[in-house]
Amino acid sequence: MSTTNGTAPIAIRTTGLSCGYDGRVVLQDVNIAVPQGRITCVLGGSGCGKSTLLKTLLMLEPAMGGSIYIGADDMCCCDNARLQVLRRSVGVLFQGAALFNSLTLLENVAFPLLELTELDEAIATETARLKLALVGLAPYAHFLPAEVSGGMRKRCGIARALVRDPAILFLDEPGAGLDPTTSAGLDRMILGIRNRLGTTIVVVTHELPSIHAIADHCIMLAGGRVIAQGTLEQVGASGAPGVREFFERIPPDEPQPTEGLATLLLP
Amino acid sequence: MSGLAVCERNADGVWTLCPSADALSEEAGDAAALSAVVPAEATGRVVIDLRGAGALQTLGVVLLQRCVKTLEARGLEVRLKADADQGRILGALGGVVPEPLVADRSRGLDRVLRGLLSLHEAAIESAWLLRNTLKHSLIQTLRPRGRDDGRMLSQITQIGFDAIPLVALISSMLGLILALQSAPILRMWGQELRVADLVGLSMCKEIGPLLTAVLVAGRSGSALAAEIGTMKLNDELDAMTVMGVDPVGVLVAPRMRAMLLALPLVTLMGDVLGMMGGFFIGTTVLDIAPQQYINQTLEQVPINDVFGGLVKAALFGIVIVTVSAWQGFAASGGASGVGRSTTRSVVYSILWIIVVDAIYTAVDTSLAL
Repeated sequence: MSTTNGTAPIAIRTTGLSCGYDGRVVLQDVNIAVPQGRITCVLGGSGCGKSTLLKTLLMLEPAMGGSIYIGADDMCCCDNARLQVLRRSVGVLFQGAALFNSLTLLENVAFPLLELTELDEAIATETARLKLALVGLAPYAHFLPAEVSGGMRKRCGIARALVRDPAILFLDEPGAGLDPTTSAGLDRMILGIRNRLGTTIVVVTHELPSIHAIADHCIMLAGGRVIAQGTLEQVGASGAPGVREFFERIPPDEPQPTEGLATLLLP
Repeated sequence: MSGLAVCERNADGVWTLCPSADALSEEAGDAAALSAVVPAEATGRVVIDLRGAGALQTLGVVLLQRCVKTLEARGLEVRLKADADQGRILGALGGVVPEPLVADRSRGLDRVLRGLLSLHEAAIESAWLLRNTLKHSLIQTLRPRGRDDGRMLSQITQIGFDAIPLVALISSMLGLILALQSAPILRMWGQELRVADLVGLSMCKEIGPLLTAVLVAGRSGSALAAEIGTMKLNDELDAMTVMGVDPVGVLVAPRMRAMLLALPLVTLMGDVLGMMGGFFIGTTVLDIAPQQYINQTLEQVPINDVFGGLVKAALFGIVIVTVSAWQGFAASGGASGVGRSTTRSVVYSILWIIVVDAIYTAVDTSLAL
């Protein structure tokens, strides 16, 4: 469960970051700090910019302003070669797992090793097997992504993200579209990765049970800004508008028809 | 409509319109006819009594709204009488629907300017893609790795071997057609033997490379665009990028290398089979001796022209891979977007093949003159 951030060093920091697409600003003035070796949940309702923030942190979308620091490097200013080096310290699970459909689970996990290193194929395959075993998929190594369930695809995506032992792991809605049991299993796995490997994990999610189960640190987005950050308790107690509604599942007021045929009714 | 609704005036001078269940049904519902049941002399208040109309549904509410609007436009004051269930449905569905927001879409001059801007962007993007693809192809050729060569070999199979039956059939048929079309004219001048020149030169210099490239654009270019487009929509390209793997190196460069090898070879096969088609007509229909036909072909079709055709085929291969990959990377908007990109990849490939052909021919001819 939650721990206080205390003195944990910072793995990712942004200052005055703006992000968006095609000249349209989705998030602005984002100043966040992701503590190292902890699980940070990026929270917020649908369409609040969680995935946009993730894509910007991964430099898949250029930042519209501000800086992103991983360690001492500003990702927004560094050259392509440095960016490639920084990317090697990062693993990502995309929302739909984004496995390569023509490759087996094992080939998917071994892919980064084979493409980016000069490793012998046997060594790469053995490493990939180890990571598949870590997420409990060793028996399915030779299955294609289309032949396994959604939960297994997500776990395989995590194994692929972990294959080069990244310092930071990004997970985009890992529990989305999964049944509660499978989702809880993924949460347990994420906690295991933090505890056993000490990986810094950033999870984009809006699933309350997951948040309560795994979050050490939370960053809450709403209205195109960061409205609260800190431990789950700190965010819950922040009193920022939107926080209570999110955690207590209070829906926005529905528009009530004020005019129309009902007003013409005779008693 | 008279059977579907009744309109009567009561002692207080109030008009009451009583629609039946059918008047608000999918089969017979008609708002204009319903409002027309209220006679023209009606003034003041009209009560629509729904109690005989049975259960109200969405369509009934929409028809009522229209009917009420028409009657109000006639200066009448409309009121409704409904039972409890009908009242509940009117409350839930009978509200005024807010006007939809107007989507900000550019028109006119703005659209033309945006079109020009995107044309400019497309030129830059495809030039960057071509450069990147050639760079990766060169690296993969100079520093061979088993995986890259494996991908190239599987592409050679798809682009080259799998295309052989189609190219063979169409090329030989075209050779036959060319010979048959030209035979009567050449016979008129007593120059039947010239069929060998005509078929040989046109197949090797123009028809062979062009035809093969168009067929390969349809088979393999579209497949490339569809594959990259689908991978883009599934975030697979982003997944590669964040791993530090350039999708161009994995997806496009092996195809470029395969295309540069396979397309000239398939073209050469098409050239030969086209000439064999001409040979068949020449020796059967035109009674030219087989050896004479072969000698004529060897004499009149210089090896330089055959080689020039193969260079052209290689250039067409570069066009097909670049255009198709560019369209795949540009895919957006779900399954229909991938479909659009796939279609465009073929259309634009053929367009650019013709442009490159024209430029090559112009340069080649001006050098020869």
